[in-house]
Amino acid sequence: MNVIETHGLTKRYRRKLAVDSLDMTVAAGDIYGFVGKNGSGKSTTMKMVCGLARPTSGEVVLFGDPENGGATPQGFSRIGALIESPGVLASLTARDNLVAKALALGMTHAGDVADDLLALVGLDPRDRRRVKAYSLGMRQRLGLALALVGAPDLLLLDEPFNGLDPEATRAMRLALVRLNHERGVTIMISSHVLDQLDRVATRFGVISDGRLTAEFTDAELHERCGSSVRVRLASPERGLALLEQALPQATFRAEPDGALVVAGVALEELSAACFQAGIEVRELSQQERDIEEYFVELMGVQRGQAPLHGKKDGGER
Amino acid sequence: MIALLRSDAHRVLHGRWVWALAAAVAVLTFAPALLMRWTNMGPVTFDTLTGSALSLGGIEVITAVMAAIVCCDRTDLGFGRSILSSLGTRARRVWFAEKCVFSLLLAAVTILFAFALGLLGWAVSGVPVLTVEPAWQVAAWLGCTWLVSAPYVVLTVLVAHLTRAEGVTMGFAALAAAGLLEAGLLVGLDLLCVLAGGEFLALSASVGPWLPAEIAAAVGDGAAATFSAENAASLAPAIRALVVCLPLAVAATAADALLASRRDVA
Repeated sequence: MNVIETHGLTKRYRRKLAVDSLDMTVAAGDIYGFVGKNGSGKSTTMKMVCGLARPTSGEVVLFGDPENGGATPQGFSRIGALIESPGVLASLTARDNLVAKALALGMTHAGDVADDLLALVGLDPRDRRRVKAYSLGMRQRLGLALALVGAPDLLLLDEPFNGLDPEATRAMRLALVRLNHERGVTIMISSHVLDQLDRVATRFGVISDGRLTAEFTDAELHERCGSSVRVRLASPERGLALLEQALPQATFRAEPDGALVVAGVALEELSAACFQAGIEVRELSQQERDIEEYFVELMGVQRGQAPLHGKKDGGER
Repeated sequence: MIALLRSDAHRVLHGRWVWALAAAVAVLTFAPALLMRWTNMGPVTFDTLTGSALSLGGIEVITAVMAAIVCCDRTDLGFGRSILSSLGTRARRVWFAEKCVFSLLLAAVTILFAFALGLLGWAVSGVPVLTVEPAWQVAAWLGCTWLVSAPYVVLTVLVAHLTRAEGVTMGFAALAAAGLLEAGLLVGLDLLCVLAGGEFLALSASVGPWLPAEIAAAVGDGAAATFSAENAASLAPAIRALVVCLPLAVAATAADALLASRRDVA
């Protein structure tokens, strides 16, 4: 079952097109990493998913329920969200914040719920300090706890790693994985901290200029960013044609400097193929592709270009 | 609605500002009472209990400012975003309406609290009252005091939700509830009237008695004035409060629930 499906989701703020015909799918049990530059439309998309912003056009279908043509009240009640800065009441304690939200959602035993969630995110329920005395990291953790009130099935987290020190980042990451594994919570995370996202996400969506430019799984990402061979040929065009013929299983990518990056083939195999085809080689080296670099490349895809999807959705362009 | 009210009550009671405001009201009530007791001001008497100097002067400003604090961006709307993301469209309308209802309930509690302090202050001051009104009249007068506060309270909530700016909301609460916005409006209308060849102050003389600030001032004069028709409008301020303030408060609540809830929250 798809927990989130968006169809042609569009949001326009006066002259600015923030989100442009976005078709996105988040399946149940996914930890969906939502990646994009500042201002690319990540937060706006998340706000539309949880109903905080109205789409200009298009629709959001939550929990596979197409009733009323989109998101239903029942769907919203299963969402917990931490969008932009943690919305906390700074003049209250962390526990009072959680009790206030639990009461608002009509929960009984609001105090017990608050204590459990504080323990889950690593905050002390007996801490009598007001939230205004908290560090940014502690506020982020409280924001996560607030999003978890009501035991949501879908968690929307916008930049949850912002302002966290390495230890807190690790704790946050482990808490998210635990929620996903133990409670089956589907999580959608937007983040700039790509190495953290890479460690938790099972599926990725890349947004650029309001459009989804790529969607792929964790396995597909590592396949694409796995080891490859960089080769510089004396005659690149002729060499590429011969190598494509000799190595049909390999994928080729041209670098701006004229070199070829060949994936899906070992260095020795490529070397032998070049020798057998009589291709003059000027440089041959093994290389690992940097995940961050790969994302930056995808985020740079301009409006008007077709989206890149995982194998499930049609394979690499 | 009940769940949201309980949540807001928890939030307010566990905050510091409400106790600071309560302490300020207590000081403002008891300071003149103690002054009267300890100074030789001569033989002072109050005509009526509800018209005494220790009654609810300026309570409209306090209740409107409280509504502003309850609904302002920094204190509430960020937190509200967390709640609203878990609510459906209809429940969101209820969330906005509840802010109005809660602020009105808070105003009622504040008025009762201030009046109770006023009674204590009266006892402390030792100043006699010539005529103590019957309980029903005092209760009705308290109801009217709440009713004239209601438009300012609900309009403040509406302004908070529409502007999402704490400074603007606080400014509106203080200026509107003090009657300054209406006074400015009247002056502007009078000037327009004069420019159009009309008589200066003619418009404000006819419109003035129907403005909430004028009605609030008339109710503030005490129970006798509240239920007396001997005034410029030839209608008791209590009736004018029902005719003007009640519909205004209901309309502002409806606007908040229907209009503010349709806007993007963030």
